[in-house]
Parts: sequence; C-alpha cells; structure tokens
Amino acid sequence: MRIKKGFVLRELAGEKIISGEGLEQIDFNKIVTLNSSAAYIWEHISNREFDLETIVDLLLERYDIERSVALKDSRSLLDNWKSIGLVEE
Amino acid sequence: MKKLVLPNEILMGEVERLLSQGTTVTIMTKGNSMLPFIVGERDSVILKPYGEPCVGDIALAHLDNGAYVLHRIIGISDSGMITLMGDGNIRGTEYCHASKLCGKAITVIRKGRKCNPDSKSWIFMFRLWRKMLPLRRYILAVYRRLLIKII
Repeated sequence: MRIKKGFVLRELAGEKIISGEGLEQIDFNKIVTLNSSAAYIWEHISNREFDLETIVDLLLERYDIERSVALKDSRSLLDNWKSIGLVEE
Repeated sequence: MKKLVLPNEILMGEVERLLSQGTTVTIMTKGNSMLPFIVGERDSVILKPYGEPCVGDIALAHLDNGAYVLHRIIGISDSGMITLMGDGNIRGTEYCHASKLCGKAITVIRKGRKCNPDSKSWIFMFRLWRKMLPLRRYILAVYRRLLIKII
C-alpha cells in the first residue's frame, strides 16, 4: 500500500499536520494532526510502498518496545489512516 | 470529527505567512461582524494572496493593534490607506495600510455552498447593503432571529 498522492506533512504552530491539497493550498477545515511517532512513520513511508511490517519495524528501530506492542500500535495507526482515506492499497 | 482549536494569533499568524508565500488558505470564520454575508462558525472563506485592493473586497487585514479582521473594504485613499467595515457592524471602521492586507476572500463557503463574492449578484447585494446602513440594525435583527436558518 501507499500514502495517497497530494497529502503533505507540515509543521504548524508546533503541531505536525497533514493537509490534503499539496503545498500551494491548505484547507484548515480538513487537516489531520500527527503525534511525534506518527509523524516519524509518515516521514519514512510517504514516498514508497509499505505494509504493516514496515511500520512495525520502524517503531522497533526507534522505540524500545515489545514487538507485540509495536504490532498493536501499528495496526491501530494504519486502520485509522485507512478509515480517513490517507492510504490506498 | 475532532476540532483542533488553535489560538487566534497563532493560527492567523500562520495564515498570513502561508498567504505571503502564495498559498491559498481556507479557514472557518468566527463572529458575527460580516452578517448576513458570512455567518461565523458556519461559513468558511478561501483566501488568496492580495493583488490590487478594490472597494467591496472582503479582506483579511492585520491591523496595527495586532488583531486580524476579515471585513469589507469600504474605502481606499490615494496614499494607500484602507478603510474596512464589517457588513454586520452598524458603526465602527478599521484602518490599515494596503501592505497590511494579507488575503482576499475569493470564495465564501456558505452552508457548504461555494459563492463568489466578486459575482454580479454579490456585488449588487453589497451595494444595496451599504445604502441600507441606517436600516442595518433592524434587518440584522430579523436576519439573526429568523432568516439565518434559511439563508
């Protein structure tokens, strides 16, 4: 799967946000905020194919956590991104 | 959907910066000062970086006291001083230099419907609205109580 085209991560007032119209437009009514770990994952997968395992590995690389925890967190993050239409198969 | 509320000075500072970079910005409006043309917390505006200001424009201005207003341009002096007034205000105007205009509303999204404030019908309504200034308070009272739900 991939991140859909046209979504841009930017920093705004100290928050990492994703907006849906590229860099030349921003709609403040339609933004997604990311916490630091979600932003870290976004930065590493936004330009390539990835799957659940990619996200798990990224979390394990950066955080000292059990694989089962990383798997659970990755799954909920991915479900969330899919449900709001950020990710396409 | 979760609502992220940013402090006005931070959000508007970002909006001003984005506009100055040439970005088109959509924001939700607040307050009643542009009634009946823009209903705060219901209608959004799409702002573009400023070109040549014109009387009748709905402009986002950064006033000298630090506040940001989205009001109507009602006068432009030869020296480039801009007079603004909210359509929903009965009195009270703001002044700023043309260089302090951050963005022009190119679209007003009323109840989800996109409207062009430069269209003939909007300009006509605005001119009529200006002429009715002495009656504004009464029309606004009727609008707020009855018509706001319909239009």
